[in-house]
Amino acid sequence: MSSSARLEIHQLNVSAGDAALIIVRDLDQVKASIEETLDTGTLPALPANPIDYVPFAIYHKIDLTTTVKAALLVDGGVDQYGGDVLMYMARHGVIDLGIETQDTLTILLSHYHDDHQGGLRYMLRERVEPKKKGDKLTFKQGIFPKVAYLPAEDAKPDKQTLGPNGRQLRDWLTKGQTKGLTELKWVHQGGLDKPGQKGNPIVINLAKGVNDLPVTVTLLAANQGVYNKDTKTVTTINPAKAGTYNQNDRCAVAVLEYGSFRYFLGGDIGGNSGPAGGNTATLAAPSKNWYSPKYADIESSVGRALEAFFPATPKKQGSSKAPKDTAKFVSPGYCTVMKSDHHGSNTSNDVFLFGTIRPLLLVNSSGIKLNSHGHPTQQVIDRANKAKWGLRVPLGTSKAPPPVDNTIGRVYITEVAKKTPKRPSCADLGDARVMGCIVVRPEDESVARVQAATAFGTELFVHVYGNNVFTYIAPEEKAKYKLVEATGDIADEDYEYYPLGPWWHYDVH
Amino acid sequence: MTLTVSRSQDGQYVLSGTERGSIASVPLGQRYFKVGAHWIGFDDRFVEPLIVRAYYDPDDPEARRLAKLAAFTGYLQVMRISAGNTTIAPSIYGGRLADRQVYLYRENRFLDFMGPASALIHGVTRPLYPYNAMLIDGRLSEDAHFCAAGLANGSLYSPADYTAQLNEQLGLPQSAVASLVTEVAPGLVTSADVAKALQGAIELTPLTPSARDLAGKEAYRYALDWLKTTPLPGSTAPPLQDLDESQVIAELIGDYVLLTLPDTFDGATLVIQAEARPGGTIVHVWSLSDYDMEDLVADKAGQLLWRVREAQLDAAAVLPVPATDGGSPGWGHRGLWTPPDGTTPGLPGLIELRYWTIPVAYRKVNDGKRGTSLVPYQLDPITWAVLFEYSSITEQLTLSSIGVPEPASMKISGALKVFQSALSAKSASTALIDTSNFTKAAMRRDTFARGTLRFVDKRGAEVPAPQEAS
Repeated sequence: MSSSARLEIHQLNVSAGDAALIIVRDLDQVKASIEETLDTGTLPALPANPIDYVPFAIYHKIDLTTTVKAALLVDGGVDQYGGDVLMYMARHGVIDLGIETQDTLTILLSHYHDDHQGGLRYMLRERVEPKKKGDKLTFKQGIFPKVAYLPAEDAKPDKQTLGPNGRQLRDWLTKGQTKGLTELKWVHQGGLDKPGQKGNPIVINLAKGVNDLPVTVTLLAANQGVYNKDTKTVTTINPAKAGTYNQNDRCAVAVLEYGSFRYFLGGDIGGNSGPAGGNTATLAAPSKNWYSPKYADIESSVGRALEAFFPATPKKQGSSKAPKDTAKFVSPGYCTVMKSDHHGSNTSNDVFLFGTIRPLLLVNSSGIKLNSHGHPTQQVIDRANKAKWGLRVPLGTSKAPPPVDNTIGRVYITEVAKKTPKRPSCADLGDARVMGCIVVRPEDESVARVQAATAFGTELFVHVYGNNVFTYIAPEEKAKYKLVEATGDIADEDYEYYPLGPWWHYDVH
Repeated sequence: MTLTVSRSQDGQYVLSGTERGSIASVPLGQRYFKVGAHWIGFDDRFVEPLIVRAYYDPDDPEARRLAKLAAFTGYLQVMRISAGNTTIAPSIYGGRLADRQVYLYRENRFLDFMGPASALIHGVTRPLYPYNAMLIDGRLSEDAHFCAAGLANGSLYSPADYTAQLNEQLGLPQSAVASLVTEVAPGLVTSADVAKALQGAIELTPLTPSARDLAGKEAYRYALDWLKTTPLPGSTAPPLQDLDESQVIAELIGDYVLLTLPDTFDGATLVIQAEARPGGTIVHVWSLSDYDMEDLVADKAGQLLWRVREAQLDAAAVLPVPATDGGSPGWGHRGLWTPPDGTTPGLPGLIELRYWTIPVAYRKVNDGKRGTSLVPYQLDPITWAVLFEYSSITEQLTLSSIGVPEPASMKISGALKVFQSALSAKSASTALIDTSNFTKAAMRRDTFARGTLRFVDKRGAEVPAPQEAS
């Protein structure tokens, strides 16, 4: 049976930073591009399955610039990966380096920390290196997304304090807007499109996938505020310690939707990290002292917001019937894939959040530069592998529902530091796969089948592969730093165009 | 008196015989070298500033006889930054050295001395290093006072006997040597950067030690002891009770002492600052996370290395050759501030900060009608260097090695001339150099993570510690 995947989510290996590239692809155009090259007689036959077109085209260096219907880049990693992110986007047809404004590209910055914003600057400015006497390093105009979403600098709940790189990014985008190169949109508290807790949650409509199903990204939280769909109000989250300020608390939280497939992007939000977040015994983060970084518990509110935003599909007792032509979910707040919050920090990724999201896959963005920070932490890997997850007590009640079974089929990690002068990552990764860039694609046909089904119980398949590219370590520094090598099966010769994988996963809707 | 070296209980080398009529010992450092009549020691208990102490023994057989004949002898110090064979002006280097530009002269050398504005305020007419102590000790007003032993930035040597005067006026013995205590503080992060990073940072309720609490103790030591012994409200154990100080990385930036705790303490960096108020001293203690610390240094090394490349091109220098293993630096090395091709990570000496430490004898000369004046004569200079290496993973430049001291030749006329020019310039009264580059030299330092520096010769070969030499 033929498989295809119009939606691709690339969790790019930007080491200790974050960058997620979401692409909605025109597979007919991909096929046309491949066939054009096939005409030259230099390639093997077109893959039988459309799901293999893009990896095949990448492997054979076929131009994909006309194949992207829409793309969203959420964060750009640390500065030193800016060029890699840019070239990765060009290679995947998301951008055309010769054009000022990229009509199909939108960017969203989750928060103003260098491991998320640094690389975005590389897109907006091109470095002109000095070559001769009198030359200075200069930067000329680079390329601009059609639309850019940045966290707003609202006075409430706390005034944003941007560092020099954050100011630079904001100023360059503002100039781009003045020149008509981009449209700059501000993300206000609660992920709303207006300040003062007014307005509506921002929804980014990307493009349509199979059977014209829309691919959308909805913001649930930002700037220390979480939107509650039931009450249409924003809950303000105070800093963990009065008078302190942490950008992580201001992260935009987003959920991508494509039929019954969802991808959760929580940025670097913090959780409870202790038993009140469901993290008991060794799963709790070590007790924090006054000197420890302080993160507000955003996850608890986000968990409730997810459940309000994305309720379970109503089901009649004793019946397996489900409404036709709709997405189907057996639990409220469900997301097929969860990108772990804050790179797998033990102050985030509460068991209760796992219990809400019940993901099929957990994707972790971590690495060696500038510091591994010990991510992912052992506690988070252990929480992800726990047999059952507890659930938080619903509002207005006093008793927690019974724990639910672990749903995670696999943990995928971009990069892991085995040895650094400071904190290496956790020692026991379990059966997690280390991949470099991770590509997650819901299979269109299964998305369509779930949508069309008149009964619960239909399988939704997700396809995953990796690019097996890791941070380069110079020979002179190899004694100090070591990475975990890619794990998992290298594909057989039938799938030579997959550097790592592919693997199939499924869950039932 | 003969100078003799020994080792103190804390592992530091000390030198005795430097004070007239006393066998008291003075610190040298974790490593020391004897070059001609100089004893020079390096103290890296704080990663920055590195403290360097030099003692010139006029009784040493290798000392120049002039030292015994001159009115007094004192150290003068000159610096120069270079990358490969290109010298770099301090303003191009930036960071905490940028304000030294005011003393720049031939071949990008510059004087290591308090700024012109401070020199004018204190009436300093000769840029001898010990005079920097005037910045913190208001009692020092005449040359004889600088012949006292135990001053913050070193002492002058004089064959004249000031013992009684110094004992009466300062309560200090007279120095039997010319000496220097200098701070090597080439960091790219300034105290203004730290102040910005502290906005919104976690702060402990300020501590209010009594004068007795701070007697003989630095504020950071008081704060550390307090955190090691005092439980915070709602807690039974002191927050730092298990702290192994040998794992703490200490740094001083302006008035801020930064103590980076081991990983088990969440990689936090404590920032401690003493604030003098009418009612007493308040000690502030903040905590910065490793993310905050990364933001503090973000892009700074890359920006410096590009300024250096521009200077190399301007000087038509032979540029470093890019690495040959594939040409491309690979994934994770393509940022706006990725250093230029040819920047080899892990290579000590990518940037060199060279010092010339020069004893200068001031001899009375009869000028006939104009009377007697003091004329400077340089004695036998030594030179040494601090060497930086770049890490492409942390994207930082770190001071990793010391080029061991050796005899040098260096004329002092350029340094003296630039000092006089700077003092007579219209802008002299506003030409500032951060005084903390000098005033913290005498700060008491505890033994934290130390001994990480390598000592290398001209060819880059490691020079083993004397006790390790066969």
